Amino acid sequence: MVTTASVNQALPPSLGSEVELLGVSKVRPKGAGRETGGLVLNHVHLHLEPGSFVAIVGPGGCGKTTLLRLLAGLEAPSAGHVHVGGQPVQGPSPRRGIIFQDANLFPWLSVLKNTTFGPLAVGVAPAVATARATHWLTFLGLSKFLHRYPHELSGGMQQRVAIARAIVNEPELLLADEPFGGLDWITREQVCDELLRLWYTTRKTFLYVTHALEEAVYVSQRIVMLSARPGTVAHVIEVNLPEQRWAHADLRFTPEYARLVEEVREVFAEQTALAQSARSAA
Amino acid sequence: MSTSTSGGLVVRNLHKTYPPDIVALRDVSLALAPGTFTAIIGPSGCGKTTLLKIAAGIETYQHGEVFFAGERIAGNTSWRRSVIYQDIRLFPWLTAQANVVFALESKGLPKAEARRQAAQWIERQGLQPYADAYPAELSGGMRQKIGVCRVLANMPELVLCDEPFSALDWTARESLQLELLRYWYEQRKTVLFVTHNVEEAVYLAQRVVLMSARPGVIKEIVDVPLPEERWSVRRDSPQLLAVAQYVNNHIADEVRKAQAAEQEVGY
Repeated sequence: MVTTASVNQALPPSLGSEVELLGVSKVRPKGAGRETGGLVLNHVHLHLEPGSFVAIVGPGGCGKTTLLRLLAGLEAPSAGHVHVGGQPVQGPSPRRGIIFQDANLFPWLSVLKNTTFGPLAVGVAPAVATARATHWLTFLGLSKFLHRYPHELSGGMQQRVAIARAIVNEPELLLADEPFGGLDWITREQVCDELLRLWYTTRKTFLYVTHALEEAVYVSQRIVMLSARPGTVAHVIEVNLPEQRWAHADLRFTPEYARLVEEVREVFAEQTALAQSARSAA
Repeated sequence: MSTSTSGGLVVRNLHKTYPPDIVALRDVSLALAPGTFTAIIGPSGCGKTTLLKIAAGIETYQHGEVFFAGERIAGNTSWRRSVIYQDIRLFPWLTAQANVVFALESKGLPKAEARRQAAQWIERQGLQPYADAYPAELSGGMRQKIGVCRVLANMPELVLCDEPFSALDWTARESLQLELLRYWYEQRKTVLFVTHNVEEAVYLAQRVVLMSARPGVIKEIVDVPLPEERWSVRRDSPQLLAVAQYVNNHIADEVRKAQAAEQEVGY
């Protein structure tokens, strides 16, 4: 039987990493299935404190996903610097975990084997990989489902496995791209609570891309709003809500919270209106 | 019996089982008075969408009765009862405006009048610059706006909404919420709105029907004591938040029950 204490000894007590984007631009060629090429991101400066939880929002096509892909090392910037933990990003690494909207689990592997796959691939001893995977799956409420297969799980449970699979690699940065966009609102709010608990416990740096503004308010400490394409940082909104939000069941129904959501919506509407007038002019 | 239901939707002792023995709805009774706006909310699998499909006439049932404006509904569709889906499919070979014109012409409007009305709907959604664009050239939000215009332009008497705005960004969602409210307010038609989003349900509807986890049973009907002119209500107003909190607590209980059942299956 794996205990939490024994696993914690195996885990390094490190915080998440600092993230720095300096003058980052991204240009895409036109064509090949893309109607519009050109500048996607324009001179983006962004600094994430170690262990912070930051949400990225912005009008459709503003380059949120591109920004995340640059940090993941799946793409290189056309100009500027992308640094994580003081090091330039030069390709994908298990130190930077990603969660997508689709859980992308291996259908032929059990929940546990899906989760140990990453650590085993980088040479972690099987006993340690199993202990770590069991710990995080239990943390996410999946202890009864270790030996189940993905098709036997609901969408919300599959996304929990995707979270476990990212965190089991002990990343310094966790990147999430609309991770719960395919789930219904009720399930979504629950999985957000799980993710917040995970962040609070691990203190890794979280970067969370979403188009749902109320979700950005609920999960993050800070919201970075990008302008319409080409995306640049248009606004930064501080979210001064308690860190342990999952413990405040009625938080969403307080006037302070609702006002904050309204404020973010107003800023978003301004950005969308600017984008529309730019399009009409063009 | 049916004459008393003119303009409204009446559901009596409705029972729906999917093969082999999945009970989707158990003894559901519900009456929507003509011209009212009702939301249904409940955990996944509670039968909300089934109820909506039955009212649209695209799903049948085993027991019970369903009437709209005195007409018995049992697998029969009508333009008077239209569904707004989460992802409305436009005809890809028609322009945005031609998609709306097509719907109006199908209802028998002369071409010139159909064009005039379609142009009005498109203008109100601020999509004039895209009237001649094809669906593939539009964003998801724009496509949904055109789809909603296409449904409402036909003046359905019962508007059945199945999570119509869930996939949209905030500006498109707000714009379509207001369009639907305006249609309901000005035309005095009956609206049934299925959603998972507590805030949306409370902001839009006069009454919120709370359903239990499967099998779907109506647990409670909550009145929303806000003015009909909802666009004048602030989304952070204490009255709105109080109702939302009440509804949310109920839903959270039902979701926990549904998950306990899920955990049982997982032993």
